[in-house]
Amino acid sequence: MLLMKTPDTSPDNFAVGLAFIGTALVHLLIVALLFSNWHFGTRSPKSFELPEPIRAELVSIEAITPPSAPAPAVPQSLPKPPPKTAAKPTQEPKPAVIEKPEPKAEPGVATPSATSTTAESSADTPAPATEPSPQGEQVLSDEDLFSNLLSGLEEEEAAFDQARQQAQQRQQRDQEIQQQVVSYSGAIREQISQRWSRPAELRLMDISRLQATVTVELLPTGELLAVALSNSSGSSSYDQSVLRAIERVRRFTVPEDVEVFQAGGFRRFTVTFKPEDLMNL
Amino acid sequence: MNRRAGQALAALLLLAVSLPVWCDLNIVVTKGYDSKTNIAVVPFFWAGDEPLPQRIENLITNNLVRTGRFEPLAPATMLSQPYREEGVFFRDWRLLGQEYLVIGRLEPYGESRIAAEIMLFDVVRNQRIVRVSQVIGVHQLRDFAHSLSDLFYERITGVRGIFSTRIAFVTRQGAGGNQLDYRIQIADADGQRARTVYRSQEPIISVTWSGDGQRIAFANKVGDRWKIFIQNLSTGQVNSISDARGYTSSPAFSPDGRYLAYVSSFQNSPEIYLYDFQTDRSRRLTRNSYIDTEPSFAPDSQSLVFTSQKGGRPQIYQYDIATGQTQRLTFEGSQNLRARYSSDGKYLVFVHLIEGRFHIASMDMATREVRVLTETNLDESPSVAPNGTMLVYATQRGNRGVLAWVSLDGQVTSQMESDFGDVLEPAWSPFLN
Repeated sequence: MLLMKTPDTSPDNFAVGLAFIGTALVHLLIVALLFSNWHFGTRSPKSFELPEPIRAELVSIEAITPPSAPAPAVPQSLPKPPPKTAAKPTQEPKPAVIEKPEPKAEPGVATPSATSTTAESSADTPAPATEPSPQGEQVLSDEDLFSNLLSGLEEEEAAFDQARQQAQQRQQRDQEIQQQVVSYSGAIREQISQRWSRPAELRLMDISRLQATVTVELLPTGELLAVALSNSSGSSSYDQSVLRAIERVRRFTVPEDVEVFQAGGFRRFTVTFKPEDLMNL
Repeated sequence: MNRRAGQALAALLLLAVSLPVWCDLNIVVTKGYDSKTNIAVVPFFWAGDEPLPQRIENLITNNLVRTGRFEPLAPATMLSQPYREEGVFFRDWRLLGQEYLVIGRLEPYGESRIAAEIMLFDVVRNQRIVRVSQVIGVHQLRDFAHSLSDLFYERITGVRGIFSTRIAFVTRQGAGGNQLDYRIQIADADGQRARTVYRSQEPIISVTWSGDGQRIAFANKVGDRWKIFIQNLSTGQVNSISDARGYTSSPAFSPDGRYLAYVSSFQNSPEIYLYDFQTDRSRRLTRNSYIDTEPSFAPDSQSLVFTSQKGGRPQIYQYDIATGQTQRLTFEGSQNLRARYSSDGKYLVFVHLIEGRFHIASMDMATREVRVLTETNLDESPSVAPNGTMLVYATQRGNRGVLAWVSLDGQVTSQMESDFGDVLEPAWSPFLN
């Protein structure tokens, strides 16, 4: 790893040699992993514990990825496009994300889950975006790889650092988002809970085992766009009470950051009602 | 070319590693706050000169409050008092935390008649959900208010309202010397407009309604005997069905109107009998040396529940009329008695004694699970409203027996004295058409 940092102004044979070997090994690893992935369809991202050099290759695509997350979301059904994402959405690769086979009908929602689709089935889904690569890579000989790598080594080193930084930032950002999702969904739970009044008519019966699930759609402002029963409890009184609880909230506490709103799934989520507080009464 | 391909591939791998995996968001709510429903009943606009004998909006408000599940908004705190739809601004009512809004307009319409337009709005959903436009007689204001209450209650809760039903009860007061005056009275579900339908100088107990609400049955002491009487409420005519000596009590009509179950101790201990209106004959259902009493029919008239001390202490049993089979229903608590079916037959409501305290409990007839609803200090038996959401008791206030309405979460929502002394044994009617 240290070798990679060797200044490119001193073409020391030893350093170059080591760097060469290192890079070659890494590329071999990539190819090996790639092929194993290709053939056996390994789906778990965990198997790819790659050394950083791989990330160096990201440079070209980093330009592609960031807009892919927020970009399609903004123009769709948002009354006011947030300024910070407005700068990005001119990038090309949008269609690649949009056309992902997402079973959900709602186009606006596709974004966060499309991302997860990519991660889960990296072998199939991204293919259209980078079409020439699979065939090209498969016919490469080791020698070809070596020479290619050698020529691009210097720029790759610089790019590698940048990519690693970006990856770290990305990771940090993900953690931030994750934390916000947890805290905001807790706030929403409380908002709903405070407005959920179980019908007095149901006191005769034991409703502690009744469960209902509703699907809630929100505007980025947190305003309720739609609510629908997705799983009935079997009691219409109970079902009404859970729909009412959602309607009574009117404006939900959602992340102001549109990226968090999107990625955290606040545009469309489900709420399950289980009256555990009524158990054993 | 090759290199680019390699970069792209590696980038794809990186993408797989570095991008977060977002799951769909699911929020689980495990708690609720069973609060009252806020409703604003705006004072109705009356275009006539003379004040009306009844204020419909007050009757509606009182009806809703008595259920224990509504919290009305004081008119003084209303930002506006609209009486037409154009004057309704949902936002204002939301600011006041209201969920529902009632407005109304009344105008004179010929001789002693009124044209009324009443509307109910769902403030949360921004929509009108009821609009009633009707011409009524001035003397019908109270009935109109009760049927509006029924309509509103059903629209809001999904449960049929009980405001147009009636309550029968017995009153007792001193009539000079050792004499006592007993009456059976029938009042609106809010206790108003009570009228006397039967009088006696001897005790009256166990008033009960027929399934169609046209008749009542009760036990009245006659000399040294207790007899069961049946009164037709439209004609006032009274018949006795039991000539047996001894103690007869606890009549219960079958919902189909064919039978009257009752208790007689003519032969030894109190046993359940079944009187058939078609054959004018009684037959004995239980046969043992213990007390069997308080029969009550299932809505399908095919079985009845009763209290028996067969097991040592009072417990609730079920008797199947076709097979004659008896089975015990209650096992929890030291005593269970005075069971009544809910109008849909899915639940029993009964008095449940546990650790020395009386409770009202319900049993789910499908699972046989018992739920304690209300703790009472009352020795009188409650009567359950036909929609199962309220109880009416006779209770002591000061030195007087009064009527008390209790919601199923145990709060006394209303009390009323009688003009004729202590109130005993109220009985809530079935739904009346």
